[in-house]
Amino acid sequence: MTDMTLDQDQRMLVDSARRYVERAYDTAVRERSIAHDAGCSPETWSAFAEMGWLAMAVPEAAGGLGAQTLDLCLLAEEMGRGAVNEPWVASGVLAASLLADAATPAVTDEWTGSLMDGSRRIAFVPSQPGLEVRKEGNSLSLRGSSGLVLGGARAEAWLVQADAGEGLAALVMVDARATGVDVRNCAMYDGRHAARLRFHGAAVTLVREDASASIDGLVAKSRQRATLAHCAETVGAMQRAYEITLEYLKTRRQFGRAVASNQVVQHRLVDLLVEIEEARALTQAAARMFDDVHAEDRASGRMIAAAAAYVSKAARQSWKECVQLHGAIGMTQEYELGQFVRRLAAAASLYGGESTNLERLASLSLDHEEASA
Amino acid sequence: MPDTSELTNFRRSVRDFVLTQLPDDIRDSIRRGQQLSRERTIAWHEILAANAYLVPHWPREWGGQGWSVSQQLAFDEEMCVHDAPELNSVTFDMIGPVLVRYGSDAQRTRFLPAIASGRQWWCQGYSEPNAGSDLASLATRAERRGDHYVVSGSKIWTSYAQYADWMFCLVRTDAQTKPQEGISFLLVDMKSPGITVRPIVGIHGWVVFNEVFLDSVEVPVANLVGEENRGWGIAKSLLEFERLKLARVGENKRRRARARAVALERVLGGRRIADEPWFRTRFAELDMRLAALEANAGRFIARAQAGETIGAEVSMLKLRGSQLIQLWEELIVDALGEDALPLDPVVLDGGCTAQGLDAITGTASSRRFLSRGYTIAGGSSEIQHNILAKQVLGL
Repeated sequence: MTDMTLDQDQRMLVDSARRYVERAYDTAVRERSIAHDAGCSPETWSAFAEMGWLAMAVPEAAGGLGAQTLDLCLLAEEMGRGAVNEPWVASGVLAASLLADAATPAVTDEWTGSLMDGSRRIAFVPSQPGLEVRKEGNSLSLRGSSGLVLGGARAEAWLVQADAGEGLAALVMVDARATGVDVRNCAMYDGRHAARLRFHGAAVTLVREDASASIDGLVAKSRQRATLAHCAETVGAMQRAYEITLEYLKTRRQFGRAVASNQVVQHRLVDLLVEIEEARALTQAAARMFDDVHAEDRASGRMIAAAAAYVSKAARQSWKECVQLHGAIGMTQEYELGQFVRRLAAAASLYGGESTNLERLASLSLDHEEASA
Repeated sequence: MPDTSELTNFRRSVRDFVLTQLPDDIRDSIRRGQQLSRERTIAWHEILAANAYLVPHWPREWGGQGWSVSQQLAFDEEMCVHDAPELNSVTFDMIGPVLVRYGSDAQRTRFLPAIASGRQWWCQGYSEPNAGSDLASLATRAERRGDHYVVSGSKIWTSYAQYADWMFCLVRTDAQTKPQEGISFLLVDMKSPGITVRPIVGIHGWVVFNEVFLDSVEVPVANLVGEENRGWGIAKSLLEFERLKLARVGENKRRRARARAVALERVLGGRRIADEPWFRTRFAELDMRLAALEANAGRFIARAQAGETIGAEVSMLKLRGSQLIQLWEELIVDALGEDALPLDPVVLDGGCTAQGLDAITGTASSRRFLSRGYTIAGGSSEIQHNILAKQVLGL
């Protein structure tokens, strides 16, 4: 069905992404990606680059396509439908757009070309207590530990947010070949790969140094875009898990009739359908608002927190219901549903999950005056 | 859908209107959650009518404004959020549009101007003691005798029949065919001999429902809408009018504001309710659901605006919008705690002049009970599930 709420270009983006995922991203491709110790197969990443997907989140001023957040969401949803394993949201949206927003022209020139053509990939390391950058002689060095770095395994470099002392913070690039970094790669249960990093005096390149609040603001803006793309990707995975379940229940017969002919099953399928429709509508509405206003806007912040909380809740409900409605087959690794179950379970814990975003929403709604819209 | 600047200006003009023209005593009553008398409601209708705001969604020739779908919904929302009374949808959204579409010329010229003046009140005679969700099994009979039908039977759950001048009614005119095929759509004058209205006091303490008994009531054949035995089609199409409204976004926002106001004002054990972790989590959950409902309704509005035909999937708006109202009402009651227990009939019926928290406290429990009707009336939640399963999922 044609989505009347999208314009012509947006419909073309959805169509071409869906065609690619359905035709080119088959089980063998996905398994190669999962087996690769980057959780990202180089051929696929190059294909993303050729289709322009790695340039979308990069602003036009930095040579990218400067796509709307809604466009990123439309693409992410198709990737979610195909259970694409490559860390597009982590590297292609979050890290790439933050670098482009924060960097001086010199750093941008050095990096964005290779990020967009897929020859190099970076991941973002958010600040942690004790993660500090200090001047040592003429150079900067980094100490401390990261949390789980999504897309961080086998990245060419990491973009790190660190304390710079005296109320300042910095964004710095750490080359993966630098000395003074311990890397522990880990495979996650949804097939993706992450890294945990420990820095002890690693040499870094300064991207930007500023008041902590300014750096936080820059990070928040990219993180909000990535959160919305993550929500959309999760909606795509829910949609596909739902289609698999619906098809199975229409086909599977017990007591001499299709399982889906039981009213108790039908009503649960309806609840899931509505959950997914609302999750998609909220994600897209939040993306439109984010593009229309600015990251500091409280109404936009409220929408993003609501979308992140809603999608997390819906993802959890979806995977559990899909397993229950399938019966035992839904718990097997080899059945098609399994990869979506694992992806949805993992997605529910990312970008703050339900609880953190609900408290953010409560704070935005209860701890401030409300402007009348 | 984000508001375009044109729509933003439109909203502003509606807001200015309601803030300046809604009489203070009515606004206060609505804020307190009280029920309005017929007289006060009609006073508000007349103000709306004088400004061409009572039936803006009707065709221009009958007093409509030719607004877009977005404008109509924005209008309803602004009215609701700024504490205007909810208009009786039976009168303005149901029988009016039905007569526009199916009425004879004589019926239109007789009734539409009267409705558009705000002074004529209608009720809906659908449900019967043995025909609720299964409406097609209704048994009230109409026998044709010359230029009259003679109608006998009873209708129940008839909202505000005690205020109504007229009732539109589904009656059985042929008992020999399939249930849906022998039903006709009649307009009945509530002052007709043979009509008795018995009020039913609800668990909330208000009379909203009534039972309407019809004992050999004579109804002129001129009051038949459409053809005899074709009333079911009209009744079904009527369910399609204003379906986008059933998301009840404005009504949910109004309750959100009430819940927020209670939580910010009420202090228990030295702490504001708004600072209690349990309240914050529950409020945020509902706020999240409201954002989702509004976004989903926005998609449907955009589709309708683009001229697309909206199918049965719109049932999901009714399903979620009605459930959410109930959850807000429960949160308000829980935020008030024991203070919501005392019941004073004088307060329920408008004899209370308190402001702020005290104003809300007196009616919160009753409104919570009243809200249970949202998931029962107009196709229960279970029926909505069936519709979605059958028509959207193809099960």
